[in-house]
Amino acid sequence: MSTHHTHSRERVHEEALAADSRTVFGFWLYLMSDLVLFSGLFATYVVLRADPMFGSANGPVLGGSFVLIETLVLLLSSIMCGIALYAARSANKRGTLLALLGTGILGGLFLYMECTEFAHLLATGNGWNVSGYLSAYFVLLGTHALHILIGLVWLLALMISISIRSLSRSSMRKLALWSMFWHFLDIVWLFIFLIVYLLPL
Amino acid sequence: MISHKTYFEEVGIWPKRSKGVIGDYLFGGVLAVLLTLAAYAVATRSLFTPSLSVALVILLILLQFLVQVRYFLHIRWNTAGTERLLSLAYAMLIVSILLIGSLWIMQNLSTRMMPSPEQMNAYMKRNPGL
Repeated sequence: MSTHHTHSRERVHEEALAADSRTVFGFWLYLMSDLVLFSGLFATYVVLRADPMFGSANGPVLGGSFVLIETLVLLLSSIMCGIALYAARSANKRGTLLALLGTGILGGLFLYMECTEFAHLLATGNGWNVSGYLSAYFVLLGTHALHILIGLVWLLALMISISIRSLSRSSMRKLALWSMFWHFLDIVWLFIFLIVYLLPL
Repeated sequence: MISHKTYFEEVGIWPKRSKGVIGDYLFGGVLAVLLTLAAYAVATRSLFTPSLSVALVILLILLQFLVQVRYFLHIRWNTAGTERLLSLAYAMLIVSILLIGSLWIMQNLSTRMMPSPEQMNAYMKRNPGL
């Protein structure tokens, strides 16, 4: 009786893990479709920038070092997210929450810097309605900023869930999904950094 | 009760028996920071000819892309996560068709398009004998 009982509990556990790995793969496929969405925005941006009919004389680059710091902030946030996962692996609730807090603060700083640039552009008369090029710029960067904002709200929910329910299976699953989302956003930013900021220099 | 130690491996976001994953994040992180700084230095300082700089910056960013995919997302050639690698490769194929295709079509369209009056004027000023 007792062996039968442990056996079936193991079965349930294995099935739960298999379901979680299907969820992870499904989320991965969502990220890939998001990548295709971004590539459409990138294509629009590149095409509109290359065309003098739509292009604006003054580019949106704020100052190279500002964007470099912005990039490094998001990269550090991505690394910190990995550290949070590592703390969760050792079932270290406090460490996980601390690392997630660090990730969130860096992410918030990044979002703040992105918004600073938008505000600067709007204040200097380079709004999204000025040229096709600036529209493409705002849509591309705005979509990324929106993803970051959603990621931060999700992170807050995740942290609340971990602090209430500790590192349960559902918290671990959410953590796994969120970490993929966050690393993915850093990778998308890498290409924004290249195409929007580095190549015009 | 779940086993925290193996959870991320079981659901497939970490490679199997990954004791050294923290090393992955730190090593990949340092590499990514260095590649970012290098790309920035190449773009801002005129160390090379413009076309070489552009090629180098693109190469450095693509290298960093591979570093982040390997060390942050842990996608490798020989793991159980072949589906993820394949779907990534497929997405990259679509991305390149979209990007290269758009540029190609617009370039083609641009060369066949009648120039605007201002562009025509500038062209005639540049070529007075025409």
